[in-house]
Amino acid sequence: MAVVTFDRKDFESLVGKKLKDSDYTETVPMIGVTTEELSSDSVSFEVFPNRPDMLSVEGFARALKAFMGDGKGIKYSVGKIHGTMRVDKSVENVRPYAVCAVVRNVKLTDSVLKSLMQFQEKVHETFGRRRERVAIGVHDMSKIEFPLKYAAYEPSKISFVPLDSKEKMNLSQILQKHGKGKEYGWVLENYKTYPVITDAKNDVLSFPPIINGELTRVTEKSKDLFIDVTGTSKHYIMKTLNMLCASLADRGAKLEAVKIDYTKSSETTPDASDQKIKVSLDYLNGLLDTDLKEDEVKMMLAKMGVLFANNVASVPFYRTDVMHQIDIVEDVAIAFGYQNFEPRIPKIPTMAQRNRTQEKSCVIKEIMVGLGMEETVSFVLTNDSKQFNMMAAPVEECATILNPKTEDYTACRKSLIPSLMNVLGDNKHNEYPQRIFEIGDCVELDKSETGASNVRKLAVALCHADADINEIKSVLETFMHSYGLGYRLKNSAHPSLMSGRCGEIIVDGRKVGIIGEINPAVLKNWGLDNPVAVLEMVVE
Amino acid sequence: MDLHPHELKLLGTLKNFHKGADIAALSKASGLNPDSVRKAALWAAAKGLVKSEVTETKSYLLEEEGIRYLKLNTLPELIIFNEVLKKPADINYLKNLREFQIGMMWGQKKGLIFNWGSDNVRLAPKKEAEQKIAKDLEALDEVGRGNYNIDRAKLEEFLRRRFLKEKIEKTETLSITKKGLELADSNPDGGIGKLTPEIIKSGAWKKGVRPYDVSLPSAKLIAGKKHITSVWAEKIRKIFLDMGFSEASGPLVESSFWCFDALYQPQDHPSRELADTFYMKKPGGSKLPEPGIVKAVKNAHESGTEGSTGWMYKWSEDIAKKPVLRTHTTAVSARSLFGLTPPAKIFCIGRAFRNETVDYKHLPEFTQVEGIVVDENVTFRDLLGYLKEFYWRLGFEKIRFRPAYFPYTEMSVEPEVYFEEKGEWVELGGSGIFRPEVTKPLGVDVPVLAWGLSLERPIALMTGLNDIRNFYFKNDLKLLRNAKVNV
Repeated sequence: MAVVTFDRKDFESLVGKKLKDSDYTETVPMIGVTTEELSSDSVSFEVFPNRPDMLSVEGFARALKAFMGDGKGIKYSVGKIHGTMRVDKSVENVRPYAVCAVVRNVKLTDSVLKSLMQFQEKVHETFGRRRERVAIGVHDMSKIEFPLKYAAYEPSKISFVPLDSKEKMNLSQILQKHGKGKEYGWVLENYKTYPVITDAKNDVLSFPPIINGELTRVTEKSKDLFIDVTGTSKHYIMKTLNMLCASLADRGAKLEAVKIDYTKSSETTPDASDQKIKVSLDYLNGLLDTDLKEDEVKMMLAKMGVLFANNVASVPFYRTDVMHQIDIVEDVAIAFGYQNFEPRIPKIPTMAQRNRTQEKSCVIKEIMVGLGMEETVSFVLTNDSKQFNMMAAPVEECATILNPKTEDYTACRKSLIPSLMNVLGDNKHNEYPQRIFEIGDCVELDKSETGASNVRKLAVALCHADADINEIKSVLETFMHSYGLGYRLKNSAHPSLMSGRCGEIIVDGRKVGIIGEINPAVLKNWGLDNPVAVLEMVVE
Repeated sequence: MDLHPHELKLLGTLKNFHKGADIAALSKASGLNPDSVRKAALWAAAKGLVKSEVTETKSYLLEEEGIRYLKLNTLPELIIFNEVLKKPADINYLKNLREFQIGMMWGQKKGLIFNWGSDNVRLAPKKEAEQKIAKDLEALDEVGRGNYNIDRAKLEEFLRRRFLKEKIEKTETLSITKKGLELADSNPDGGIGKLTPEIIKSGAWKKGVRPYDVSLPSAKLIAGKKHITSVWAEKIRKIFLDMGFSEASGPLVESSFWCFDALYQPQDHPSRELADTFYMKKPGGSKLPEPGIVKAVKNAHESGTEGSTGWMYKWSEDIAKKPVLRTHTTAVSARSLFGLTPPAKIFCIGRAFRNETVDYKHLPEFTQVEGIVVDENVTFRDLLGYLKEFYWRLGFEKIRFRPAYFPYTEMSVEPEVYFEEKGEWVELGGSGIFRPEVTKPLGVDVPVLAWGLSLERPIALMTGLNDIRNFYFKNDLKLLRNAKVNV
């Protein structure tokens, strides 16, 4: 989740009143935001990913202002079409969509610039999926001559001076040498041509989603801005442009449109019209168990910056999270206050059914504890070394991880015995005897829907100076008797167990497990000096 | 006087050591382990039966520097003396010698070199200097062999020059007091300590049995015991069963379809990234369920279920087929919902995986607890009601609710419980009502309440075991043996 930091003075001036510390700790959480840090100069909030509009100081202040009762709502409007941008067919396969806006008379004070930068950065990271889905470019308008063109080029065919650089570079050079190129080059990894925005003089404005040109750099002196937002989803770039425009308009700037010409269609951006969504009061009251009338809903939605009339909610253009009337219901619930709903338990006649495997596991645990065994619980994740090499066993096919973060966890366990050996190895400093058991899931590859299934197993390990096959056999015999399962043992061989001290557990003519004394060579691998006798069986 | 059997044994043993004995010797002679001897001695000393005397013995060990000069068979002052003796002395070379500073200091102190730094430098006769140093070396050698009977001033010098180090050893000598001796004599076998079948049959017990001080500490047994996380998991399982919930389970290796897509998590959602989710190398791919539901889920993502806009992107079947280690048991809830007839209440307690690096707060595996309620009449108030009831049964009396966000629920609620000991509200789990985009494709047309939490978090809160690695990662038997299981 994204944490944003605002200048407290600037924030409160946008909210329109001085806020007490308690407003931050009591009221703000009720919109669903945590105040992370608060000082007299600055304030940090943790914003949920469904409200990227609150990543900007203006957007956050706007939401809080409404929530605290200033329900007038702000109307946003877009002026005349300032110019045109042609979207060339060549970008279709690499980065197909672009939207733009012109923003006039921006007072770019230090705090506005800072918040603009923070907003861009946070949107890129979260909503923009590290610039893959959405990338923003903000430019000084005075350097640009319309019409503009958005097209894809071979990387060596076009060059310009990127931001924070002195020399002209072509697109490949930017990806190789420029900091931003190295950071975001992965987005273009699989493409042969790269997207570029140029103006009427053929000057490069932007190489999205990597970097803008130095030419159109925004400074405190810039008065008019040009904004481009490009990406892979028209919906998301439009919403991003809307959020930016709303923020700048809140600062007193005027919005103007840009006409976007695709090969077969055209549109005008930004579009400040509301999103209309039908809300049924029955649905709303049914789900919240409330009895709210239209004007009450209207009042509450005003607190969320949403207009409501004739069962239609008008959601402002900067909101990105409304997909269904349920989202409006949630806004009402938040405005109503979660603390104002009285919790209640309904009478729903259901009969509890226990899961058989789980139930068996519980019974087995009881018997094992009665036998004086101590339960341990280990990870399902393991690696070949622990699971096979240290057990002196050949490496077998098992469920493995594609993207492990550490060498420790690269596969799922097939057996619980290595888990128990690991526990014994870690507990050499603790008092003996150590008689431990584990009941848990192993994973086996198979032909099932997901390609692997859980196998619930039980394993016991006895470790002390006198531990041997006799004792573990007694454990098995007593356990099987209590559990009510007939079985027989058959001499066999196993690489981890000592030959001549090892057998198969057979139930109904099927092998369900093994029993024996751990091979001393294996004991050495785990650093154990005491003998260890084990058993393992499937619990099904 | 009430004596512990170990005390009696100690007294009986000490009787034979007229000059007293140390713990090791007594342990060997009595068959008690050294710890028991120490404890018994402490108790007996408090009763005036045993006397304890601590003696210190000093010894001296040669240090590296001392060994070095013994081997060289010279000392820095003699090395410097010999250099100065050379005529003409090379001052620059001299000053660069390792021994210069120290050798010059001791050389002047011992009267080998006079007036250094003036024009009138004078040296002692070579023979005299050599003899002096030879004597010193001899003394050092003596100490090295364990003879400390040398000139006190020399010893101080060697210590100061780190040729030697001092080692002090404390030994405790226990001896029996007169009172102890009397007691030991009057009670040669300690009386009848333990009833045996013979003693019961013969009636020998009638002569009296040795009294026993029940207030003395007892040894702990190593008992059969459930793991602390098992105990809590069973407690939670019982809470759900008592509330009429049925138990569900599902595969640890899960398809992305059930883990994410069926829960309306868009395919480019950050939690699906490699950095957060374990993807499988083997198995290489999952099968998707029947085409009807796949199509419904695809539509929900691309253009929404009825009345919804959806996420508005192109949904890929290939991404949905990628197997993962399930990141939450909500995957089990999704499977349970498919084709379900309401009303139903279902819970699941199971392992979940996150591709995290291990630290005291994060593990790649944890246990998740989750419950869902499916019924046409349930409302937001009922969700809060279930949360309140569930957490109350878990031991948290006060609860409050905050708006939250999860991609698959709306309303989303973060319950916070009041944690008495710290006097603060702590976040514990997440909850909400499943979005229609989740339930409709699964064929469920009624509200579904859902909540979940990690099993480890309440255990950490309630037991103070804040380092969650203690639970699985370490399985420290000492910690598990001491863990309270009356929860």
